[in-house]
Amino acid sequence: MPEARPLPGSRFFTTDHQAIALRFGLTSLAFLLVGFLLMLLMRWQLAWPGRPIPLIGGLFPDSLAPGGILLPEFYNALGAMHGSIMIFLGVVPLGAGAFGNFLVPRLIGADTMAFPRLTAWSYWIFLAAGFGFLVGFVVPGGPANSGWTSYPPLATLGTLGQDIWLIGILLLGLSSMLGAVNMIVTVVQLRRPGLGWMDLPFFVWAQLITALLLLLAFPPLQSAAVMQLMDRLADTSFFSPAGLIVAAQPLGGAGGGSPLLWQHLFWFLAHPEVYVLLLPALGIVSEILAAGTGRRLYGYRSIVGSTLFLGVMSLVVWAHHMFLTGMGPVMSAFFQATTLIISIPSVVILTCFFLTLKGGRLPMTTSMLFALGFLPMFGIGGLTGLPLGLAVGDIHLHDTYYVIGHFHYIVAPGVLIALFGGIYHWWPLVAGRPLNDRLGRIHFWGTLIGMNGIFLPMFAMGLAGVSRRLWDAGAGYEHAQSTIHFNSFMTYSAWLVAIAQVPFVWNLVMNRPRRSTATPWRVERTS
Amino acid sequence: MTNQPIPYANEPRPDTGLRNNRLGLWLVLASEIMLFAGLFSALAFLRIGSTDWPTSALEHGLPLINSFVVAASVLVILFAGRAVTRHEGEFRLLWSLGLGLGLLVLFIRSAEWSILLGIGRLPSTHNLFGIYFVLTGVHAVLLAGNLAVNGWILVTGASLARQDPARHRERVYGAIVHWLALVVVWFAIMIGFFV
Repeated sequence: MPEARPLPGSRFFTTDHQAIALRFGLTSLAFLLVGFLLMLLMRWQLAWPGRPIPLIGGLFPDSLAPGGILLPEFYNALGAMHGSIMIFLGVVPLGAGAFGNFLVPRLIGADTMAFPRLTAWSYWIFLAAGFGFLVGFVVPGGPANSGWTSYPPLATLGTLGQDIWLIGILLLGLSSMLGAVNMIVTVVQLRRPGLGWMDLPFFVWAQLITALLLLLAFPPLQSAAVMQLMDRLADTSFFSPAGLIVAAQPLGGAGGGSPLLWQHLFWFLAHPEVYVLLLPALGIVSEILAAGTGRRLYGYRSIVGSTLFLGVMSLVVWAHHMFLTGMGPVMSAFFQATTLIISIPSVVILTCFFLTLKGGRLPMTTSMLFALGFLPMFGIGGLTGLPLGLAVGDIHLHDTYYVIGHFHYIVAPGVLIALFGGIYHWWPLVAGRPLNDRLGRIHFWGTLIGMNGIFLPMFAMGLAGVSRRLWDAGAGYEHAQSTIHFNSFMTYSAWLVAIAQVPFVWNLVMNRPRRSTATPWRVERTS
Repeated sequence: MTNQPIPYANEPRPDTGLRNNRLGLWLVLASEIMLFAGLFSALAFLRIGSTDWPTSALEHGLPLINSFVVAASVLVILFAGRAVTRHEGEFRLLWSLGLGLGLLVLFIRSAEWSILLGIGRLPSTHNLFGIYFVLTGVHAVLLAGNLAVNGWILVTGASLARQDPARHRERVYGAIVHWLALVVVWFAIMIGFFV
């Protein structure tokens, strides 16, 4: 019997989890590139304040960069959009949307996700939110410029781009909810019969807990986004106290609100979001280490238990981002305690990973290099977080470059390195051939060295007290002079990271799935 | 992707005792609970921080009437849920009545909003009104979504009930449980503002 011809557009609107996972992967890599390019613009400004951006500086309108020189407002917008794009449109969809949707059904012996249409919807809504974020760059006033945290009252006064950012957040929450429901039901219900909970690969556990965090933590941010939209569009005062004067004019609305309300609701999502970023990376590294050493993870049960504990605790540490708001000693003590407690399972996991390596003969493949690179980077990121978890240390370091260094060590040389390792590790499943090892090594060393060149000096700058939000890198401040020269070195390092991505992109293009060869997963399915 | 039906969509998996659809539904509800938890936290935060919280300035009569309509809709929709396994005609009648009551809830809500806005109780005049409009607005949006699903079940349910009665029952179950959750939220709103 001849095969029925597919309907027009049916491939475009596919519900195949692996095809959608690839779309998540390619789209999030594209967004990572966009976010990275925004960072390069910022780094140019920080290294050489007031000097026109070469080559492309003339492309910007005078309202953003007259004569190719970034205006402070545009610098703020670049910072806000860099963070938002990298986190919400880059790392999370790559870790959960791409790797999760692609691998989890395979690893649990399922044919598909539990709700294939939800898989597709979560992608399309994510894409719409992403385009929404980008539209901000072409609306009057430019994109959101109140930081990725969108703290009021600054955000309440922001440009039209802030409204678009908030709508994007609402859409991303919806996309995350659909994806999370799908992932949880798939793991709980579609596991191969007989595959017990403690038989699941740790990667699956990591994806499951990530999904639970997305499901429970994102909605409060959505409620906050609705309220901030109301503050901006309907003149409510949820986040605005009475008596605010802006440009010699009293702020509209009745007042009586509190900016701290936003901070509580925002960080209730945004701290678990760190683990949403991190857990898929831990899952990937665990798979690479286990495959490389040919052994089961050392302390598998401890790792799973620690990850569950990590997930639960991540919901009760949010206010350690708010020590400077004057919460009072009792609240501060509570959140200091929970923050120190949450470091314990992270140490257990990292220790187990190191012990998995003990005595093993490691094949130094590209993916193994990335996995091994992740371990110390994550360690640095975690350890440098401890002083920030204590109110006494945080008072000095809050809002300085130290904080930027700390969380970038978690997310960039940490999580991103692991995600790159995952791409090298599983690319043969996508394209039927591995990525080139030599190009991969160039990619690895360039990225690792470059990222450390960017982020390591930030600790020194932060300890010197340099604020993270200065358009001119602190040129006007005496205390910043001792470290300001690091900026040009950091910018050159950023260029090294940029150059190191060229062999990666070339590698992907040269080893892309060919039309002439059957897609590997289909071969496997039919064999 | 194979064309095999997805297992455990409408029948429970033996070891977990769960159906995919029901588990998915409960997870969506958990997410919605967290959404409202954020809004109710905001209500508590604003109320504690305010020296002046004029709940008497809210419209009382229409929300009270709405509460009775909501309570009546619960009875009707539960009876409809019982009828789905017995008599399709009875189910359709009761389901239509439940849909009508839901629309009435939205109509009364819009009338209440019109009155509040007409007498100058705008969201911008006090955070009490602001959070009230946000909470009842978000609730109304979810209610409207539920009503859209109920309408879809009414339109497509007859044929589905013939072809795949188990799937039809699962859809009805989902719509009812979500409706009940929204009813609980409604009474939480009433308690939060009027008690």
